[in-house]
Amino acid sequence: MAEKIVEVKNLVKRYKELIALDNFNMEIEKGEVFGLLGPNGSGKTTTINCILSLLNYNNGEIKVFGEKMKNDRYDIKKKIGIVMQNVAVFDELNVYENIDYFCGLYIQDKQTRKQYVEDAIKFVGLENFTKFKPKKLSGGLLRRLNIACGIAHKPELIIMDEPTVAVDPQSRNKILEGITELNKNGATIIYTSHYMEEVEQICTHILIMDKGKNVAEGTSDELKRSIKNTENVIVDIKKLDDRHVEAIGKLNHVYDVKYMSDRLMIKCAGGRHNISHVIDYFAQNSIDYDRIYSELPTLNDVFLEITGTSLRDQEA
Amino acid sequence: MIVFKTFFKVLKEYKVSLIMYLSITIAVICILSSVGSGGNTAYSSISQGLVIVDNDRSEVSKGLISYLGNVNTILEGDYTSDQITDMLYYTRISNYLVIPEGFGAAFLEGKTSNLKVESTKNAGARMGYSVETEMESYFRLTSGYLKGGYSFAEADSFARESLANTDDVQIVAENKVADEKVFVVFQYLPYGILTLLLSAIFPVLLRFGSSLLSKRTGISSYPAYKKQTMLTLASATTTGIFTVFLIIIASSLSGEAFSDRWWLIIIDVLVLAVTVAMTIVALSNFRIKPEAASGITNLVSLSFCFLGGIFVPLEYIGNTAKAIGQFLPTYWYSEAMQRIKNGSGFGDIVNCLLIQLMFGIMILVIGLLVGKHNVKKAE
Repeated sequence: MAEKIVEVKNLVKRYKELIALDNFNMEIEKGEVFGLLGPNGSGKTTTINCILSLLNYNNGEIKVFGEKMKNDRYDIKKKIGIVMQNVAVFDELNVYENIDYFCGLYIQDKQTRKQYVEDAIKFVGLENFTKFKPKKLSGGLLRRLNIACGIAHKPELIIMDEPTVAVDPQSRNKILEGITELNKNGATIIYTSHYMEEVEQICTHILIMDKGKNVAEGTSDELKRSIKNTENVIVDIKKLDDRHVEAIGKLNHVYDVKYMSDRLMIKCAGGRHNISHVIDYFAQNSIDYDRIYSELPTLNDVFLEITGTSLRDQEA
Repeated sequence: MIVFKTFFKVLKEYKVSLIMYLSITIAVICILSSVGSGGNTAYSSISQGLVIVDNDRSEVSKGLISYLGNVNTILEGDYTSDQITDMLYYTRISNYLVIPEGFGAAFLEGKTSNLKVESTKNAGARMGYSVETEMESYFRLTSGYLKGGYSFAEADSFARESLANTDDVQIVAENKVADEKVFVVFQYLPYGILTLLLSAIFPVLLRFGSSLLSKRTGISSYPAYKKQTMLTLASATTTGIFTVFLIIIASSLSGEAFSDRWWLIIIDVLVLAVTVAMTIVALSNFRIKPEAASGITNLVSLSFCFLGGIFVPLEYIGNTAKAIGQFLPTYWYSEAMQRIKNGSGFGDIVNCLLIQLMFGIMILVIGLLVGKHNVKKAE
């Protein structure tokens, strides 16, 4: 059985009347890239803050590296690195000085620290920018500096809170490659993001939380298998009467049909030849279409099916 | 030590504003101390404008007019009473003198008891009195020589010679100027202490205390108490360095050091510096953005200096401002300076020092409570 790095049991956190975490449970094993997903306000950041002892909680238990986590457990904190969503660096210090400072909060020995800082700079590819102040860096480089500050002390557990927000595709790829490499080097990673394709690409285990609860977890494939939707048939078609949309909705295994912007989206639950049934229907009714294809559900479909499609920021 | 070292690395980035405030402080001290001390080391009488009507035309009246004419400017001509009033009001002349008929004869006969030159002056102006003092001195000396058996011509000559002798006055004047300078220079020093410490320590503490950086440090294995200790140590070191630097500059400008009263002044300066440092630490707990530090530096330093009697002497401050000023450490710094100037010892200024420290402790406690409240609120 793999070593448990983080164990959260029946965690409850209340902000006056609002229950942010409602008997929340989570276990993270060594070597995982653990994706923590959820809509805005679902409790992801509260969970992370509780794990880091930045927040007191009302009930439950948190263990990190098998030990009960407390604010003064500096031995545990030494093994944790955090890459925050907002870039948190000193504007007055250059790239090297910033990484050196944050590494220095963990590593006292100068020689070791020097080596670690240089490794971190190399790891994020900021070798040519060591003397640059943060204000002189582009958004992507700034994110990389933020990551370097979080991982320079070579932590065993790295928490990354949306590290790729507002980053161009090139920098994003570089960051994702880096995360995979950190994981290969032995680090366990907790990763939160709203970019589902990223999570699908790098996470070995995914937990979806909503309204402070653990609503689903497993690997990407396990999650996809757990939902009703097994196949999406998509048809690019210029014109389609409502009666045909209604009829297609009544085909075997079809449970949802939407026609909008010249595209017909057919969601199927089970069945092996769903696309053939749709093609047959068009042939029988002499309906012309441009293109028809079938897709397996993505993590985005899983997420939306589990958490719903209503806008969470607008909910009270 | 990483927090301690980083404090100074961040501080280094504020060197431009530090140099600016240091230059302003030195300029203010130099300008105001030269205004305050007058800059002269020798006494010289000031020439006044006079209008004299001589109804006597005697040897004595001519001698008096001649003497007054040597040290003042006598305006010739006939003037109406309105013109005289205007000239007095606009201080073109300090006195309008009328020498009555028979004045000279009565003076030579020694009948001086009811003898008087009519002098009209602007009651609110100091210069009119100095001309009257010059006349009195001239008559007193001349009459003394006449009583000694000298002729009026001889008495007039000796009297002028005596009145021209300013050696004794010069020595007293030099001592007086030196006395004033040390107080004038150190009186303006709080502006330097406030601006330099605020512009150095305040933005750095605000940067370390900004929510994101504070969170990142809080997550680390670096204990919070250690971070606070290092920041306090760095702030204290900065306070010490800047205060000693300012004391050296002020002592050089005043030309006085290591005298008994200089030590008392230094104690006053050090107590104020500690109080200012405590105030800065307290302010840094009030979730202020580092970008606002410059504005707050000006607001705090100027209000403390104006209300505390640093720029304007305490006796010229209005009652309301004075009442507010009494709650500020700079007021008690000025009060202690005043007492030292009047010759008081340590025992007489100790309550002023304690009030300054109490202000610092009180505001520090408030600041720490606000900081604690902010942490709880964040949870």
